[in-house]
Amino acid sequence: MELRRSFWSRNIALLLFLPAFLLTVGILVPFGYSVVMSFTNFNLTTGTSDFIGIGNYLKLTRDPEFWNSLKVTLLFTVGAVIFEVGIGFIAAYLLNLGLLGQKIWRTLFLLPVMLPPTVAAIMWKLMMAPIQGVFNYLLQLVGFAGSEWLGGSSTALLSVILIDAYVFVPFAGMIFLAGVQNLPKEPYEAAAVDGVSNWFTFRKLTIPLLKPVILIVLLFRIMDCLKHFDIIYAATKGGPASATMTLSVQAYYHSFRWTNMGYAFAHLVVLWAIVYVLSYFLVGQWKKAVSEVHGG
Amino acid sequence: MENNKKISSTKLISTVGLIILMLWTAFPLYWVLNMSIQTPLDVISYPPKFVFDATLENYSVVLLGRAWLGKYETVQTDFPRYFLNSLIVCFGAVGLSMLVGVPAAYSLARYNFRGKENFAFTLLSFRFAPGLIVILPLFVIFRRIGIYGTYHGMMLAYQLITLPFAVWLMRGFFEDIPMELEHAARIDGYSWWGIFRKVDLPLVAPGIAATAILSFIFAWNEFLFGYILSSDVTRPVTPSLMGFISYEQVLWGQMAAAAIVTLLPSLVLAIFIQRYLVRGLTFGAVKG
Repeated sequence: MELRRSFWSRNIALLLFLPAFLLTVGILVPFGYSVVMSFTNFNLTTGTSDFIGIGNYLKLTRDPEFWNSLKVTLLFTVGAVIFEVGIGFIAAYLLNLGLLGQKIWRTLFLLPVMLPPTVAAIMWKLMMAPIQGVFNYLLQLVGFAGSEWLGGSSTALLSVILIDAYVFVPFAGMIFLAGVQNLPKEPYEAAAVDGVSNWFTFRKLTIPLLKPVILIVLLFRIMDCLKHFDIIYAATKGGPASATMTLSVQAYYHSFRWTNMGYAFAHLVVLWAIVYVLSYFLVGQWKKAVSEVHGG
Repeated sequence: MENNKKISSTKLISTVGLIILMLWTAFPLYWVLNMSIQTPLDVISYPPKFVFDATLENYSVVLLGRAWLGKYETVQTDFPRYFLNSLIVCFGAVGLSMLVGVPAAYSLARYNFRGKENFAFTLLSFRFAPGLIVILPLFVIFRRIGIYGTYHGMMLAYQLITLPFAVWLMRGFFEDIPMELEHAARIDGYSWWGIFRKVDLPLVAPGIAATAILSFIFAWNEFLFGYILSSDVTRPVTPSLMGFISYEQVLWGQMAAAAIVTLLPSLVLAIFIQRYLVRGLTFGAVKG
């Protein structure tokens, strides 16, 4: 009887699971295809797809455009993540003070995170227009010089970081806010009794307790920034002069503008490897932090 | 006295900070709304106009898909069709994900079997993988097997976004239900299906709704899949926004109106499920 039920229940488990499993395998097929084709000179125009070993990867190491896009990707990621975590923290603090109308402010604050990123990019592109854009108008109104924003090769990367921050500061902010609201009360009462300074409590109590939440924000933001495509593509298409050419955008050009699919796949495999290793590491750190907080 | 002063100055700084934060959030939305109700002349005027005679012409051009007559060319973006395409593809993709994902999530939450965590992590890794690594091969494969540019092809492709999300989030919702409830029902003589229907389903119903709505938003907001895998006829709304940049000029007003119409479903839905946003955006890792 017992045996029969466990057999039955295992069948149910697999039966329920099977359709999703098949779809997942279906998704893994294109992944495998990418990896295999990155070792060929697959080209949509010429129709070739011969095995060339690690030829594409060797070509990458000698390709200054690849190194530039790697640099841009990393700069974009570091810039956007610092910006979003920093402002997100401040925002969580401000929205937790109990100032008048807090509920409305919280709702308003999180709206941008749900915008289609391309729409956000277009909105900002309209405002950042060098000649008739409202930003330069407002800047000049208070006596600053206008900027070329997305159009200048030195300001474009900073401009797309700003757009990304507009969308994802709320992401960081609302997760920090949830973390702050879930903090236990007792250690803080103990600290107050002991008369420790606010800064000390923040450093020795709040930050360690918030570590899991901070790691989750870092995990999601770093991964999304590394593979980033849509905001940058909609705002600058990688220009001007490759100033915002991230790895994803570069791979897109290699595939669709120059139909050099094999080489594009090599770009993506490299990017995927970076993302995979980093996410594996961060997920591990996160699990450790969770068990520290809940175990200690 | 000294202390009071300190508190009120902190409060002042905080209030100013909050105002700046809210301006930063609201101004872009306000400004695009502003542009969307200006005439073609007002919208490109300098200095930009904060006060003007509002017009709904941009919306009528966009929503009715009317042709816009330029000096040298006529631009027609057929926006209503793209909007409908987005609805079709997103509903189909979310429907499939829920149909397949909810049972799988239940199975992951309730049973132990070999390789279960591997499966869950494979799904999670899809969330972090660069989209193009899947889309480019799909572009080649779909063209070869003849489903390039079709609705069902895109619905399948969108599973990369909606399926991992549905499985991970629903698994958390099922795990929130105490096992004791199921045990009690089993003792009362309910079958497996009876337990699922009478005990689990009513308890996870809000979770199912939140998951479906959030995956709908993610699918709606998606750009790259639609951009590469759709044909002119099946193009979703996000990539179609690029069509407002013509050779002659950028159609600022129409573009703003189209942007507003495109972002509206996401924003409205997001306000409804605000309670689940933190949980949803972190794949269930942070329970807000």
